Amino acid sequence: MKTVLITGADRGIGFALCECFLKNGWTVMAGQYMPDWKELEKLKEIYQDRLFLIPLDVSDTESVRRAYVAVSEKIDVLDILVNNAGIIRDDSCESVLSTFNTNTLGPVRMVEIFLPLMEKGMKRLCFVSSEAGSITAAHRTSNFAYCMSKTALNMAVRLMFNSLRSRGYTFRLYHPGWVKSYMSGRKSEAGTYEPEETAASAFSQFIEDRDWEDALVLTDINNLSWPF
Amino acid sequence: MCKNVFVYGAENPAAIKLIEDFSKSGYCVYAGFTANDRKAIDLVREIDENIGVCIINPADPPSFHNAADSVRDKEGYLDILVLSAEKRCAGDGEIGDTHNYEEMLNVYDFNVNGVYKSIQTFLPLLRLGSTKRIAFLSHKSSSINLCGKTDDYAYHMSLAAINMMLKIYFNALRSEGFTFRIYCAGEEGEGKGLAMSAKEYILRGLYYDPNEAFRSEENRLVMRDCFHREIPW
Repeated sequence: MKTVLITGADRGIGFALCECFLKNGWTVMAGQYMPDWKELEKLKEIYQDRLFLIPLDVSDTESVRRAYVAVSEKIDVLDILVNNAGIIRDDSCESVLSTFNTNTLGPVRMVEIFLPLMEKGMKRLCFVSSEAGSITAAHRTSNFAYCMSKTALNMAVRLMFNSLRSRGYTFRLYHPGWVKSYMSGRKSEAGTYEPEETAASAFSQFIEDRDWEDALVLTDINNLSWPF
Repeated sequence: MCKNVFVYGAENPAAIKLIEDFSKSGYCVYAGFTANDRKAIDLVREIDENIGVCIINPADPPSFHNAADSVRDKEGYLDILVLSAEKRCAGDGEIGDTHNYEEMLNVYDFNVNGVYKSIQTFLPLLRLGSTKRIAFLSHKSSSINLCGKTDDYAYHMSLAAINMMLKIYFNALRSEGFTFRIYCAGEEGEGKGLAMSAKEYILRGLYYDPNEAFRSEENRLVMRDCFHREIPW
């Protein structure tokens, strides 16, 4: 049975991805940041044997290390790591740092600490990025903290790709579209897609092999390429 | 009256060369050092003792304002702001080596928030000038498309983030008449002949016709190297 770990699984895209993987027979390690948010526990009642809730704050290195221990006690091999957790904040210097710490360093921590568990698996690293990180496509006149964190994430993925591709790792860099997400704290009424819609496309792209794995590409919900 | 330029991150070698080139071209030059690097400061003083020297601590907002005040008091405005951010993280190796995430955060803070605060602080002075130009001394490895490196995460992530920062400022400020230049240093030894220096590129005009705004080169933010080649993001 294939295994996946999803960060930021409490709600939104992360939760919808958990449902996709579970419905398709995967064992899911759900990174739980908000234990008071009860949706994951309800899902656990349905998938008692294949869903595991793992306390996880990707901005905290010790929390990621504890999560590694918890996951290692449940599975021997992790096939796919989905880095989904993300925040959006204002443009103060403090927020520039905290957004970078979660959105960019979070995935770097996760990959680095979970690599030993992935060596014998499918070796697929997935990252929920954003068009907001595309310098070419950037149209905004603010949102510095968030946009910079996603651009920096794309660069981090490039550096990882340069190291790990030759060791058999494959990469997915995904722009989910404008989603009615919980990024601002409560579910947004504005947006083009429901979390379930973009999660369905992400799931397909995350599990399917490509004939062109040596190319690192930012893809969207329609599997179209975006520029960096 | 001579044109003026403020160079932030003046301790970096590329910035020192730029300071020298601007000084020899008759510019009133201000050098903002983000470290109290006596050797670099002495180097700049040897170029021309009239170069204004400011020490800026990126963690200390008043130090940015003190630097801007020194330009305001003497010049009343600023023509060109040049930015440089070269701090790297010790032991920042390949993924799988154990990284010091706290230190990576500090480097991002120093590089990215340092440049961010510089632009915020000097914008009012740039608005008072007629040139309104913001430049960044970058590197080819800041290109997510072309970067072939496997290490120096904090440095590369900082440079990529700064490129995005400049794009957002470009979007916000271009309509006010601001122009932007991002110059990429090449690999060691590259461009030592008759290539285009950072000063030449920063001062160079790009095609602009208000009646053809859509194809005006000045209305596109690009990154170029010493051979005037465009480097993709």
